[in-house]
Amino acid sequence: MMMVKRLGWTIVVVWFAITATFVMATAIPANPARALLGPHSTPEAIAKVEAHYCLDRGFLGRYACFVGNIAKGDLGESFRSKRPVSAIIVEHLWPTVQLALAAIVLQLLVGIPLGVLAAIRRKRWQDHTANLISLLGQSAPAFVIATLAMYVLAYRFGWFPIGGYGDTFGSRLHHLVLPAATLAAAGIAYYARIVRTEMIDVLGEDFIRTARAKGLSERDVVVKHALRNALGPLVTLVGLDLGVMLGGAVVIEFIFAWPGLGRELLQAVLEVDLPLILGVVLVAAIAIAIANLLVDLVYRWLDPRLRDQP
Amino acid sequence: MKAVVLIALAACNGMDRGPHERAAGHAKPVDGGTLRYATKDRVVSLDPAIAYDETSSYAVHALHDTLVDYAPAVRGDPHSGTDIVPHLAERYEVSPDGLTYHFWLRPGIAFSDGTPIVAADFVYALDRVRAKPDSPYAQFLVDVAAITTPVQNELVFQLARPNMAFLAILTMSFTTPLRPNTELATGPFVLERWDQGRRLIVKKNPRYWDAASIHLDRLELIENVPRDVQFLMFERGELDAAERLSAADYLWITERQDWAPYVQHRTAMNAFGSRMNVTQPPFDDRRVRQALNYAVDKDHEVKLLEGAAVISHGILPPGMFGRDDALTPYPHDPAKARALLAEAGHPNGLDLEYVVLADEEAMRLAESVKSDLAEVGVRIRITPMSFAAYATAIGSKSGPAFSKGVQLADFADPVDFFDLRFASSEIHDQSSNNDSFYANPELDRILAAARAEPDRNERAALYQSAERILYADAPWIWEYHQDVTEVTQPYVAGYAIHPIWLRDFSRSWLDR
Amino acid sequence: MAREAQRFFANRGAVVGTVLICILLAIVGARPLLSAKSPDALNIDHGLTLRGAPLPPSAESPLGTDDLGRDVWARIVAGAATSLEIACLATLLALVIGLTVGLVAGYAGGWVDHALMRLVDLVLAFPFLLLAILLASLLREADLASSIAPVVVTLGAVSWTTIARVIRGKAMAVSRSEMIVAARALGASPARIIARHVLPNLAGTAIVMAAIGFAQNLLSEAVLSYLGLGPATTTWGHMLFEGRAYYRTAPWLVIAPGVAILVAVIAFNLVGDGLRDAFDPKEST
Repeated sequence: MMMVKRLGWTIVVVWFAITATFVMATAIPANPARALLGPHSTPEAIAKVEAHYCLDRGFLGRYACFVGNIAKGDLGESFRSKRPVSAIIVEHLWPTVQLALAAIVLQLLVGIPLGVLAAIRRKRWQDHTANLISLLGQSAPAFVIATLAMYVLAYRFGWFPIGGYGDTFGSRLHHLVLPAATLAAAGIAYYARIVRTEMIDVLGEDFIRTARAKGLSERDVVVKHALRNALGPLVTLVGLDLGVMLGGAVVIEFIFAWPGLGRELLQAVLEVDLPLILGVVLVAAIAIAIANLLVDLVYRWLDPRLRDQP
Repeated sequence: MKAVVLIALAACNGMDRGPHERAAGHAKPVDGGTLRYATKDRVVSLDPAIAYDETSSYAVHALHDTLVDYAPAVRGDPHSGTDIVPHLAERYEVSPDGLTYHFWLRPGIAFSDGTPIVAADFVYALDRVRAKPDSPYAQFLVDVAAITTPVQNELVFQLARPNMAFLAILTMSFTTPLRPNTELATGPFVLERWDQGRRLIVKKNPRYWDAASIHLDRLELIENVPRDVQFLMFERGELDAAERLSAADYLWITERQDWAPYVQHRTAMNAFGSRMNVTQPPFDDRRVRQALNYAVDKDHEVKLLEGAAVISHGILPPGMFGRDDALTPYPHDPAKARALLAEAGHPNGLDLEYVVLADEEAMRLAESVKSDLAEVGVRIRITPMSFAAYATAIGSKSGPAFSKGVQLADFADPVDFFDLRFASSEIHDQSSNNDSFYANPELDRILAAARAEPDRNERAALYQSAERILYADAPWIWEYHQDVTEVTQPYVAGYAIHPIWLRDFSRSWLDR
Repeated sequence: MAREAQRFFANRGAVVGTVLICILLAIVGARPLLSAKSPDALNIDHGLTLRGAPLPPSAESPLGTDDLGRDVWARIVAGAATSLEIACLATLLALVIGLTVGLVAGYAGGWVDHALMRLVDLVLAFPFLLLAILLASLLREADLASSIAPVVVTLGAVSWTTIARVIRGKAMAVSRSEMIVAARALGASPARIIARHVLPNLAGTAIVMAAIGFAQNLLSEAVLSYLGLGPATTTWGHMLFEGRAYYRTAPWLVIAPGVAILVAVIAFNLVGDGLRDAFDPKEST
């Protein structure tokens, strides 16, 4: 029953995403037909394109046209490239997913240990350094970190390629490092702080004192008992993080010429390419809604206490 | 600790080494190799009937040849590259009345699979263009009354009205011969692979009629690379050419002795200025328009473009047939500007809106215009617009009256400059190509006569008088013609920026 | 408040942040005194080298000139005012919306709370930056009178949700307190209860959210400007956008606004953290 409610809500979210994006996008006064045909276009050619995209109808007419097309699985054609939006999205989805996954992995692999270190070495130099890194990571704009990284590590030192995607598995990983690392920077800072806070809380609890009194090694205390408890909230964060991640990906993909959905969206917005904007934002919203759903399920499965809650 | 710093310093100095590889010094062209270059945008389409944007045209032009084409550009010669020479046609004849164009196809020309190209293939391609609702090229064929193929290898165009620009129109890729349902190449290269949005690779077409002039094995076009990233990749040797250097990069590289010889710049077929809707006050008064011409300091703009531009007096760029090279641009004269404004009834100046494409360089130059105009009491508010909004707004009679004016020629003939932008026949209420809404019967008469005038000198004289009219009437603030800049690796030989095609590497070779 | 203030000033980071903010505000306030040059005055003839390159820092121009010959120090000072103004207005907007929504949801409870929180979820369905990009470009096309309005509205519209959530939680907790329950039972008007009892208890949280939100909005404006979607006026983000190609030939064009943004954001983050720790020590380190 509760599953149905949850599923129903996800559908509402998706519908809202479609409608809201459509409403926002149609408020732009531009006539894309002329832009698409170039300055030499004749009025007749423009009229034909307008009819094709239902641009000549009123607001409700265009909306109906749009929803009808989605039902057919047709997200329209990009104004700029004339290719089906769905094809463009499919093509550029995988690079963004790779980037996001790599960044999440990095956040966990670097952020958690950083937070743990800060917690167990509280008030000492490791803690202060970690805090400083955290502060910088969250305060510096992502594009500053990215540009700096690209300039110093890729251009000057030549350790990494200057943007691009990479063809083989090995070269792909090589191209992935800088973009994923910069995308993960703010998240690492954030995770580190959360973990640190949680760990400190947990380390202060009674059962930890008991474990220590029992003579368990410090490492056992930290990893087996404290960490396990502290990781609870992180699960939620990973799911919610996808939204921030997709947003951050736009800037990173732009700077590193990474052929993902974020960069497509930015180009589409700058060119006022309506079908592509709608398509990408729609897919993004759906992806996040589904991700949230999955995360919710995992969280409940991990923590039985929550299973009965709505 | 010290070791770390030393290593870091060593690494830091490593990068500004200059070119990685020098030219080998072969006297004659060497066959082989892949030339890699990148473009800021992606290739939109490979269909010659549809592809209209610059990036797609690079690919399309490499794959498809036409009856006639422009001569190759020669580095350092600003007049090279605009003459028309036969390509797929061996020769042609134009009737004295300018209504009949008869082409004899070159013997032995074939598609990339060996099938001979016949006249019917041209007809097929052109019919296809006319039949497509979203083809931007249909309107170039409006003057064509009939196309006939008396024999398999002869093609005759019958025009309804004489149009001296018709030959130039035939250089455009949409006139390339095609076969139904296949994508065979007729140009110097044939498509090898296209990862859409990422990379396009073409390889040498052995069936090309001029294959002897083609030395490269492959051309690799990497899409969607921002220009600053292109430059970095170029420096690291990952690209063989980098285009349209940003102001910062151009400044940097032209100071370097080791790179400077490989930087090219060429005035392209363009004109930049500020366009005014002459039917809307205050621009309906010629004195106001002239005042603005005196007010803007074009030297400032050229300086902002690092000298890669030439001040203009009209719409025809240097090297364009029919240009009156004796005309001097409006001088920078704020006093005269103020006097003219006062005379026109605006002693206290004006408040205007100035629309610009939301493009960094355009915005920068607009700031300069704004500053200059402020000096004579004309206060402008700069409004940036995205391309889509801009395209709609500007062509509309009730749209913004004052905006950045750009003309980028599709073909090298004055018709694509004058007629398109200033003939009264191009005025429409919406999507008007003549977006100054300038209607001058005398100019129309001259342009119509010039369009049909077969004598070259006569024709040139007509266009020169057109130039003088537009200079005096000033529907635009005439500002500059911009150079296209490019830098190539030392081993790239035989390459010059082409005034129309811009980056045509087909006849280059790698001196390695 | 005294207790909170004490805790705040005991926090070294918070003090550093406060000092930095005071310096920033002083710069903004003393604008005319700090630089005789106008931030918008082009100087193509003398503010650039012969070839058109920006001038490096000198006695004339302590931070050099930019690619139009304008004085960078004057622009940093002007940018301080504008960037802070944008962040301030955006945060205010977000605060107003977020406070209202959160307050109503937390106080009313029941289906009102449910509906409002669902609304928050719906807005959150869009990634923050994506929504910001969309709105910013849209509003830019709409051609509003003020050039900073689009950015302010965008940032405000996108950042109110976190505030709403947090306020709602606090409002709920406060509304369950015995005093409020009693007042409600006695029939006091909701407006009175909210004004007298709920709002004051929310003040602390609101201040904390404002400080943190401020830093976030400052950063977001920089990102939007960098992508070319920000206002056309002088903001630090816009300076970064204009100067980013010159990192080799004129690094001061990037370093100056970059450091300014970094310092300002760090300052507000430190203050925000300090406030949060001061008002609610249990959540702190």
